[in-house]
Amino acid sequence: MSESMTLGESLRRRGISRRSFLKYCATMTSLMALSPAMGPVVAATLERIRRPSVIWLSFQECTGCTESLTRSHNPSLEGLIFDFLSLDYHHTLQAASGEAAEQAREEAMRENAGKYLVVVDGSVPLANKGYSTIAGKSNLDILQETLTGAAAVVAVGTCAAFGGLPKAKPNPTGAVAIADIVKDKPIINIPGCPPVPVVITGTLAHYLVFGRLPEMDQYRRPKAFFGTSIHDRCYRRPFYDKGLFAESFDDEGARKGWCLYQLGCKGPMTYNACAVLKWNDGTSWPVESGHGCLGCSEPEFWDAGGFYRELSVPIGQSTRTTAYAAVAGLVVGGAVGFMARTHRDTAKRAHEPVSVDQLEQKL
Amino acid sequence: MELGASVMNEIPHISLGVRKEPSTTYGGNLLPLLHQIHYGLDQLQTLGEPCFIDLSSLPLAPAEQTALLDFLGMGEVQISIHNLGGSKIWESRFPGVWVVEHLNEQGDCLARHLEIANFPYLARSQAEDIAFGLEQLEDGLKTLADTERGDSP
Repeated sequence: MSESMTLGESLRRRGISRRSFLKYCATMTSLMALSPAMGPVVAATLERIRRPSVIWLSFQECTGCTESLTRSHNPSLEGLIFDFLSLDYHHTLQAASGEAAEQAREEAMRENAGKYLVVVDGSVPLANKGYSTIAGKSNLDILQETLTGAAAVVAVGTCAAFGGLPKAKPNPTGAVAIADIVKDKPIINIPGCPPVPVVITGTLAHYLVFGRLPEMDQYRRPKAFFGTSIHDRCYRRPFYDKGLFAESFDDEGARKGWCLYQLGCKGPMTYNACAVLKWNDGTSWPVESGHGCLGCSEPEFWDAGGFYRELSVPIGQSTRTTAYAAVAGLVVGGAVGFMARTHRDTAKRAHEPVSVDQLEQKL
Repeated sequence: MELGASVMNEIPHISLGVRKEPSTTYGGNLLPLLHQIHYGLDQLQTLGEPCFIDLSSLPLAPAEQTALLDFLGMGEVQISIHNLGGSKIWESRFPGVWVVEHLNEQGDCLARHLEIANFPYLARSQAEDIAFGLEQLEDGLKTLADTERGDSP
């Protein structure tokens, strides 16, 4: 699609009917957690847009986030989404390398000053800037340079959103999240290890359709995808409510699909969209496959205790923190968050597993 | 080397892929959903207001998706739309309740909605397509007229 052409013009030139485009928009509204009735509105908006430039930076990461995105189960859908964007720089996906690649980034920044999106996966090392470099430039320098003309920043993956694995104790590189560095640009976090692919594309689609970042929670995550806990959206939740739990991975409860809370499922304290969007062609997701949620989209999940230990965190506090932050704003939310973290740290040190009854009282 | 070649030769015979075991787990969310469909159909009848339910966004157990489609069944009308992977639309055995499935080029279901309406929105001819069709028809008529003029004695 040419830079000067609107999407509508491009689609008509390619012989794609309005009805087909409406079908596409209906699936997109589903991705964005909007009502399917919004499909025609989304279509009317998208038809008028011109592709924004996207610069994708990869720092201390494993490329799992890019792998997740490219293995999305809707390649044609994601293909179309990337027809909406001009992906001008991405280490893994671009053909150019070396100086030509860096030149592409600089050109995109110059030609789209003030309008381009910066997508970042991976954390940034601050202990020694030389720990991670690109074309001889440190991650910090290249991020700050690229940020100058950016309209907004999207931190993809738990490493970019919260520091992730590189930041896990003892954090040898002094890794920090992107939000620890970016202070003067709108920023949104799409955590997950890796994130659900359609959450990435759905968030970008929201930006395209509405021209702004979506509503966010206290961790800057889009509420459309991170607004409810895994536990609340889990199809095994009714078993939890009935007090029916698997106690080992091969007992009767496990075979009958009962709740995995006692096997360490972190669903009650994890906010993500896995339970409804699923993975691998929409085939399944961890809980449906018989394994508890690891809590990968939450801050410091690597240091939050064993995957198979029952929750030791009184999660009611965190739930209330979310509500307080939403009502009272980030300043108060941050203070309450500090109290919640203190409480959680105490619980972690003592590691007193919370019984189901206690959990029920706190939910 | 021979051992390696032998092992390598076996690779094409290894069957890899995602296999989904049929599940019989019911989470208890089917009945509330059916009540929601009932409410939507009642609204359509009394107020004429259509409504949409995005099944992809609901925490249904795997067996509940199947049970829902079995319960809704197949009515008199089925529609196929052929573009961008295609869409299948069918009226359930409850007139006014339509199942809409959007597929990709591989035939995988991308989204499944229920549309409670007199006729599904997507199946209607769209104004932009009608305008394009009109242009095409006029071009066709002009070409035909030119041809006939050329053929006439």
